[in-house]
Amino acid sequence: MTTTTTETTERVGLMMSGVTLLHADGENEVRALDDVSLTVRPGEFVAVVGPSGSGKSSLLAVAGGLIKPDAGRVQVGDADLVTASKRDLATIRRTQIGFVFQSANLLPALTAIDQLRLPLTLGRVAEPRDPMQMLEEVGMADRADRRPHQLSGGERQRVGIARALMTRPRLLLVDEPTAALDSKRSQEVVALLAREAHKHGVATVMVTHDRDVLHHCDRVLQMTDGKLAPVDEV
Amino acid sequence: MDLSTWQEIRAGARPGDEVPNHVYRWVTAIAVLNEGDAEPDVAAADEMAGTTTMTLEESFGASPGYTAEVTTVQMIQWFLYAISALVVGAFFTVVAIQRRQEIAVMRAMGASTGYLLRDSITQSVILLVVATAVGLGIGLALGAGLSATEMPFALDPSAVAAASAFLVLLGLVGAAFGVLRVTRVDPLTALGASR
Repeated sequence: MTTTTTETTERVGLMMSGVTLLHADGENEVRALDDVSLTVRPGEFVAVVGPSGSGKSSLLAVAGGLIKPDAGRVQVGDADLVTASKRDLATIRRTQIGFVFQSANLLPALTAIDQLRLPLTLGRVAEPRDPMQMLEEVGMADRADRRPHQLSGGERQRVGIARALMTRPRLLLVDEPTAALDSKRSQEVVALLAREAHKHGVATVMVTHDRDVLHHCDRVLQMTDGKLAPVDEV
Repeated sequence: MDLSTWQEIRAGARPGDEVPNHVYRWVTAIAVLNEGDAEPDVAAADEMAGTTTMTLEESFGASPGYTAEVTTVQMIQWFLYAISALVVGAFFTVVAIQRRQEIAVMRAMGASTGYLLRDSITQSVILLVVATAVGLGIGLALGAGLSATEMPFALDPSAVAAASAFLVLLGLVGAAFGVLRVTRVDPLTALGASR
């Protein structure tokens, strides 16, 4: 399900152009990102594959406003991440960007439903989603009162995905969501990501080295030594 | 009654008994009640009776061993205050280190430094107040136990309140060191494998 009105198709989820990020590696300077350009439309689910150290994490960090690039432009929705102040970046992350982390990174003390309420307590959110409805959507309604240690890896990841969508972000950044999962759970979690991305029209970038889940994605890109290139095999 | 009669009585001598000379050199305390509003002319009275007038505190201090003992106890008290601040500081530093991953996730989610500071300070205040209340409860219970014995023991409410407030205040200073670590957590830590 893609967006149909001209207004929304013109809207940008993520727009990166000519992004370069330098990393000091001992005496040498390494290009963690080398002239990377990537545009993700709302509702599009893009996967980035590549060996570890190829710059995948740097891509997420720059797209998520965690690091400023040394050159290039980064835009999420209407917000320019390169010119934004540190304070503005926090606000942009809070309102426009959702993160799904490798091991879900839920707060140990909170129940599933409270994990979903957390992003709404960090500051004012224009149109918050309903936590219970969101839990239902990821099939976790019956586990609302469980804490992270009472959930399986796949269940934690589902809660993590629901949490990332609570503020209706423009951009969803997903870091190795299947790293801790067996292949069946991996398929389920990535299928869920694809469904949510399409349903809510949120531009989604998933970094992974799990090639078995790529068929869920709309587009696959390969990262090699800081350079991003399309992959045809899927 | 003149002073020498008082000194003889205090030495336990009956009228007409021989008393050793040193009896006339020593008087531990005489309390004088001043009726009426006029300030007594203490200096003139001292001159007449050949005495020295002191306040109650000064007369305690003049008795042998008193000052030394009180100084020791006070020093122990101040050291305990300092140690409590150190222990609380160490405790909250450990808490902050253990919460690093959690804080990094919240930062990545866009929590402002102000939010995280407020959050941590509120936690510290709650912990400190509850801890002080528990300590106070134990202290009062032990005090009540002591009062039941023959040992003279009294807890002055104002002193107890001041000590409690001071403990919380010092605890906050200690906690500040731990809490400030929150501001230095890099949200990038949230990406990648959990550490």
